Parts: sequence; C-alpha cells; structure tokens
Amino acid sequence: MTISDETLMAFVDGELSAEEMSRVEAVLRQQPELEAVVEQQRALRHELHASFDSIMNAPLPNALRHTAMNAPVSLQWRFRRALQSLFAPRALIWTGIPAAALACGVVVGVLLDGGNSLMGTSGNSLVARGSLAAALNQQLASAQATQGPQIGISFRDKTGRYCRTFNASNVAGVACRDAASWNIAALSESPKEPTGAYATAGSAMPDLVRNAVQGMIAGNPLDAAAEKQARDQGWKAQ
Amino acid sequence: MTAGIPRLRRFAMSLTGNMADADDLVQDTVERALRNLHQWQPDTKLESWMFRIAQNLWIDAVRARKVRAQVAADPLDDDDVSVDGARAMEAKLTFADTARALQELPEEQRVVVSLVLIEGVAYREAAEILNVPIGTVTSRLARAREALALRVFGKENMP
Repeated sequence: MTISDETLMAFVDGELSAEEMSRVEAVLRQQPELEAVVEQQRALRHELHASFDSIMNAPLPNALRHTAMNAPVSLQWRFRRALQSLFAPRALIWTGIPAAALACGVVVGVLLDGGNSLMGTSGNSLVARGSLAAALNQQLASAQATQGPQIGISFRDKTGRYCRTFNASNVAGVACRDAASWNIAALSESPKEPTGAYATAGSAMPDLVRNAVQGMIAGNPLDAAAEKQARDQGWKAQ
Repeated sequence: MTAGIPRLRRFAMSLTGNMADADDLVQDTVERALRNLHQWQPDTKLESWMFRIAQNLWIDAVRARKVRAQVAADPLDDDDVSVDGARAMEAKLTFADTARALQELPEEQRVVVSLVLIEGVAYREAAEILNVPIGTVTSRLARAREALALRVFGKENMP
C-alpha cells in the first residue's frame, strides 16, 4: 500500500481521522524509510519550537501593554475582554466574570493563593471570600491594614451599588456589593510595589482598575464620613 | 488562549526574523485590531483574526521594502557588497540554523510553516487566516518542509 506525501505530512500534523491514522501507522510499520521521513519531520517541528519558544516568556514591551490596556472604554466589552484575556495571566479578567474564565491563570492563582481563598464562585460570578470579604466589609480606607487585603477607594456605581477597590495578594481589583456578597467587577495583576519613600502601601492602582472605576463611578468617591456611614449601614444599595 | 499575545509575538518573530521588527509588527497588529474592531466576528477566534492582520501587514511591509530596495539599488556601487557580506556572516553566527533556514524560505511558504508547525494551527484554520484554499496550504507546506529539512539536516541525511 502506498501513501501520498500529503497524507504522510497530514499524519505528522495530526490532521487525519482516527481511521486514517491507523491505516498510516500500519504502513509505517512495514516501511522504515517512511518512518524515517516522519521522524525527521517531527524533529524539524521540534527544532522550530526550540528556535522560537523562548519568546513566549519574554516580558511584553511597555508600549504594547499600554496600547492594549488603554483601549477606549467605548470598545465593545466582549472584544475588550477577549483582548485583555490574551494578555493573561498579567491582565484583567473583565466584568461579570463567567465561570469559564476560571481556566485563566490569574483567577486560579487568586483562588489557590496560599490555600487561603480570597475569592470563590457564586453561580456565574466571582465573589470575594475570606479575608478579602472581611476587609471589604469592615476596613475603612483611612485605617489601612498592614497585612492582608487593603482597600483603596469606595464609591457608588451608576446602579447605586457600593463598590470598593482593593489590593490583595498579587492582584488588584474592584468589588461591588450585591445583596449577599461582594462581586468582583474587575481584576488585574498588581503593579509592582511602589518603592519611593512617600509611596503609600496599597495606593498603587493598575490602569485597568482605574479605567474600570472611571467607567463605573457615579459622582465622586466617598469621603471618610460617607464611607464609615455606608459601612455601618451594611453597604446597602440606595 | 491565555498565551495569545506571546503567541502573536512568536508568530511575528518567525515572520520577521528579529525581535525589533517582530515587536513593531505586533504593535501595529494590536493597533489595527483596535481600530477595525467592527470587522471582527465575535464568533470567530480572536487569535486567528489577529494572525491574519499580522500576516497581511507583514506582506505589505515586505513588498514596500522590495520596492524601496529596487529604487535604491545602484549597480555601479560595489562597496556595499563587503558590508553585506560581513552582516550576513554576523547573522549566521547569531541565528540558530533552523531559524535562519526559515528566513530563507519565500514569504508565502514561511507563513504557512509559522502557522502550522510553530503555532499548531489546523490546516483549515490556516487556510482561513491566509484566505487561500486548503490545498494551497498543504502544497506550500510540503515544499517548505522539504526545503527546510534539506537545509537543517543536510542532503546526506535525507531519508
């Protein structure tokens, strides 16, 4: 039995049906010279990967990151999310995080962080848990914790919900209060810790989180008194 | 899906053969994708769409470069030959054999190798990205493979 070159290459590339595969395998067992062609083509693929794969782990140029991350908010959110997901695990997982997005490294990383879960799923959304939920419930921005999650600003979104920005572990994001839980509305990898003498812990806010806040906020961020009052009233939407 | 931009970069690197051009190409690709968002069908893979943009931009750039090279060529000026020779030598010393062999392929073959052998894109998807029939993909791939194997493994080692 003979096999065309194209079929043989399709075999190497995994393009054949299971049935065709086993037919080719049977022929290869009888024809060592064809087996050698297959081996050489596999080696070629390996060589090509060896030549180019290192780039996969190289840091992205800042200009590129800047372009993608600062895409206009007016872009269709689906596209925006898809584009941002291309930058994972460093980038943001956008609003209304579907359970399917849990495959993405950043979320899994957060969920597994030190065995101390900061977030979990509730239906189709991602919600704050554990120390993150506690900080969102209780912590006032004026009384920063020295350990654990830190709260940035608190504000009301356009639907009247209270939302708060946070830094926790290696991520930063925005969470909004629904009846029962804090929904994660945006999530991003934390920027590098500020090192300047006047840098305030927890003050660093990735562009993505800042953009998310700008898109969501109604009016101005809460001042200290309004924040305390909202907390004491259980963050009930108004 | 999580490695989209790094993959786009790897694709650009295999097309251009150097990091600087690759990053320029990726930058242009992302910018064009953002501008032409309305052309993207959300039911198609974003990555494939961006590969397509990248390869179109690159082919345009190569064509423009060829035109410039023809205009600039001066048959009386032989001084550049030695410079080019030295440059070619340098390239040989710094570039892995396989990557160099890939650069020596015609553009249309190289892009198929990049998509199928490096990016692991299926034939059908490669045909869609390049907007050619699937038979064109397989035939270009066959020719490219033969040429690559010959250069990488040597004539005496061909089965």
